Parts: sequence; C-alpha cells; structure tokens
Amino acid sequence: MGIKKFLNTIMFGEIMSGLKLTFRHMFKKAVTLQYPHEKLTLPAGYRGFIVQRRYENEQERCVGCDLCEAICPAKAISVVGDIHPEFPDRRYAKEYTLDFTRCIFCGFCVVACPVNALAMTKEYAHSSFTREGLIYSKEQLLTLGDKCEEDSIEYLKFKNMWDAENSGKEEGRYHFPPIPSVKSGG
Amino acid sequence: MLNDILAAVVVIAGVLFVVLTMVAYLTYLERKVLSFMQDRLGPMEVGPWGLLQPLADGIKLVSKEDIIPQEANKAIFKIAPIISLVPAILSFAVIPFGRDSFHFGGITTHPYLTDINIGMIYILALSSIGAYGILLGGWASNSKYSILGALRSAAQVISYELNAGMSIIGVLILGGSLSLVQIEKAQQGGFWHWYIFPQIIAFVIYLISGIAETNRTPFDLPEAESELVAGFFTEYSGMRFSLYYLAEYANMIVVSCVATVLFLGGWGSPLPMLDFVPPVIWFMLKVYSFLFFFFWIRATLPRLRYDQLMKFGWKVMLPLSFANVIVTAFVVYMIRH
Repeated sequence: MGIKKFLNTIMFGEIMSGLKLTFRHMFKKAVTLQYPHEKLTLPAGYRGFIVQRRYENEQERCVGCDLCEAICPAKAISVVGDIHPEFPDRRYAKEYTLDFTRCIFCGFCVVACPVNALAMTKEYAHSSFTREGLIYSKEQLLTLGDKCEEDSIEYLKFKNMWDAENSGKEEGRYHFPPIPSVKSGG
Repeated sequence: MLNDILAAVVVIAGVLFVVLTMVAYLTYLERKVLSFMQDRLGPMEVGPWGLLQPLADGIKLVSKEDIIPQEANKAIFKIAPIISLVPAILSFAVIPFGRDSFHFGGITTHPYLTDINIGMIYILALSSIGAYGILLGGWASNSKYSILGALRSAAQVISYELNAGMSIIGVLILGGSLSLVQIEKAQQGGFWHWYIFPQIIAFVIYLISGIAETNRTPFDLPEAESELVAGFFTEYSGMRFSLYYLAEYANMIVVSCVATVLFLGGWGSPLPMLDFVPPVIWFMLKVYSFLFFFFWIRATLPRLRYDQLMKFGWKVMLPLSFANVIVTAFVVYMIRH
C-alpha cells in the first residue's frame, strides 16, 4: 500500500468524492415536473388516444372498410360496416368499438385508414375505474375527435398523410369526397 | 420549592414541544434534502412548498388502523414501541442547549432540565434501553422478517455502542467530568478549544457509530427494505409504527446533540467576536449541521454488507478507539505532571 493510497483511505477519499457529487446536485434544477400543475410539452407525432374524425361539414369520415380492424395487432378494434341508410352507394360503420384496454398505441390503424378517419392525439389522461369505461364506442371516439381536432391534424401532417389527402394527388390513398350535408338530423 | 417545580415543568414542556416539533419537521427536512440531492423537489402539495406535510402525515398515521397480528405476543407487541421512544425522549433531559438562565417573576429556568454528574453515562444507558424496544418489537411480532431485523439490530447496536462509548472516553479525560454542562464549559472561548481537534479520531468514530446506532444508511441493515420488508417494524402500523419512526428521529437528534456538546463546544461560538449571537442559535446550528450530514450520507452511500459492518466495527474502529483512549490518557498525564 503506497503512502498516497493509505492517506486516501484514512481520509475517506472515496466517500468524500461521493459526498461532493451529491452536494453539487443539491443546487441543480429539478428534472421532475409537478405533474398536475406543470405538463410536458408533447412532441408532434405523440401516439396518444385514437380518435375518429369528421369532414368539415360534420359528416363522419369512416366508411366501415374494416382495414383498421384487419391491421390491428392487438385486436382492439371491431367494426361493423353497413350500407349508409340515406346514400345507398356509400358505406359507413354501424358500430365501431375501440378497446383501449387492449390497444397498444402502435398507430397502424391510422396508417391503414384510407380516408384519414382515424388519428392519434396528445390525450393520455383518460383513466377509468371500470374496464367498460375504456371501451370506446363510435360516438365517444367522435366526441373526443371533435375535442382534439388540432392534435389529430398535427398528427396526420407529421405522418405525411394530410397533404396526400388535400393535394388532390392520390398517392396510394383514396380520395372520398365528403358526403354532402344530409337534410336535417342526418 | 414550588417555584422550582414550576420552572422544571415549564422547561420540560418547552423541551418536549421543541423536540417533538423538530422530530416532525426533521422528516420533512430529510425528504427535502434527499429530493434536492436527487434532482427533484420532494413534497410540494400540502401547504406552500409542502410545509404542512408533517401535519398531514401525522393525521394520517393517527387515524390509521392499529393492526396487531394474531400470532403476536400482544402485551409486548403493544409496549415495545413505547420502550423504544421513551428513552430517546428522556435523553434530552441532560442536554444543555444554552448558556443563560432565564428569570421571569420568581422563577428561574436553566437551559437544561437537569445537570446530573453522570450525564454521559445516563445517555449511553438510555440508548441501550432503546435497543430493547427494537428487540422486543421484532420478537413479539412473531414474523421472520421482524425477528431477523431485530437480531441484526441487536448485534449492530452492541458492537457500535462499544465504539461510541470508547470514543467518548477521550473527551471525558480531557473534560475531566461526566456532566455534559461541565464538558461544554471546558470548551468555551473559541473554536481552538473544541475537543474535535485533539480528539479527531474519536469524533470520526463517534459519528460513524452514531449513524450505526440510529440504524440509518449506510448501516440500515435492521430495516433493509430490499431484504427484510421493513425489518423489526414490518408488522407495525398506524400510531405504533409512527412511534418507532419518532424514536429513530429523536435518536438522531440525541446523537447530534451529544456530538455537538462533546466535540463542537455545545453553545459556544467559534470566535469570541461572534459572542453576540445567542448561544441557543449556535447550538441549533451545530445540531442541524450534524443532522444535515446524516441526510447527506444517506443520499450518498449504499448499504453495507453484514460482514463488512461487523468487520469494520470490531477490527477497525474498536482498536482505533482503544488506541485513542490510551494515547489521550498518556498525553494528558504527561502534560499535567
């Protein structure tokens, strides 16, 4: 044992360097957030809750094609498509159920959707006391979509799916013209 | 006579109030210091900066269910936390926290409850009794984690109390008294009179033994969360749990107070020109720097292995403290003759 090592041992050299480190950290800014009061700024493309979207004229976009159900790796989506009651040449989703207890938030359904009827948002605080509370119906998804329209548009833009729809060019993406506004009630 | 009793009651009430408030807020302080060292903020919700957190914790603990395991030895299970807490509080009786006596009306109060001439032995004895609370609580719980924690605690307290006792002897030789008041008085007049300098080895040994005796990191084997759930108080809940908790923090304050009195000159100011600051302030400042040091150590060091703990206690610290006693005695004898 050299004299230097001996001195280091009796002066608790290693413990002192550890103490120095922790003391320095006392004056650093906290890295944590005071959650309910401060919230993280989420990046574009954040994969939060999935919502259904509408056209500008309030008509729902979903055509009940089942592609999202087919691609969903967690089998969280179930669609029951049917002929639109007022436009016999159109189809729509009679029932659309998204089970968020199964959803893995992979975003495949949004990519699969040919009419941009689905999008992901920055919503994440939708906990529930029951499992049924996390199984969302079409109406719930549409309501959430209305609430987070900006988020969903931002997500679609981030995924280069927004321009494809609005440029008129149909690059692997069908362009369904919106259903004209239905007479009262729809 | 009546006035003396009245004065004693006033000081007892004052010391109890201050100690219990300090204990409660020590938990807050510890959480805050640990949080800041870990780059977070700690309790922030209850009151401004979480200042009312100890109050909320207290209400929570008191209103919780008091669970007693079916297989437990009920009488001992109930009394063990009290055995743990009472000696810790009793130790404050001999700690002198200031210089001046106060007079109001015909009543004279001293800055200590009593100045018995064996104050140091009294504190050592009480801290040994406190270990019984831990042992009995662990045994009476009738649970394997509790008994393991209690056994570890007993072994640890015995080995480290020996070191603490031996390290104190050097100070007692220098001070020439067992009374804490006398030892404090012998160190007045500036920091070069403090016993930390002639007794630096004893100081380090006492500090390490103090951390070990209060079962704190890195010597928290009796309550090692990752191995023993919560050690000796695994089965305790509610108010009885909080009594153990209070005892741990009260013991921390006792150890800090004793270290302040023995090695840092108690209420004495470090420089004669700083005498205008009230002695109580100096005392609290020194005590709190020790407490801060305890938190600091906790934020820095991981837990020791059991054999390391025993090896360090018996093979390193005990011979060192013996050597310290012999050298101190020899040097003091040579100087006085």
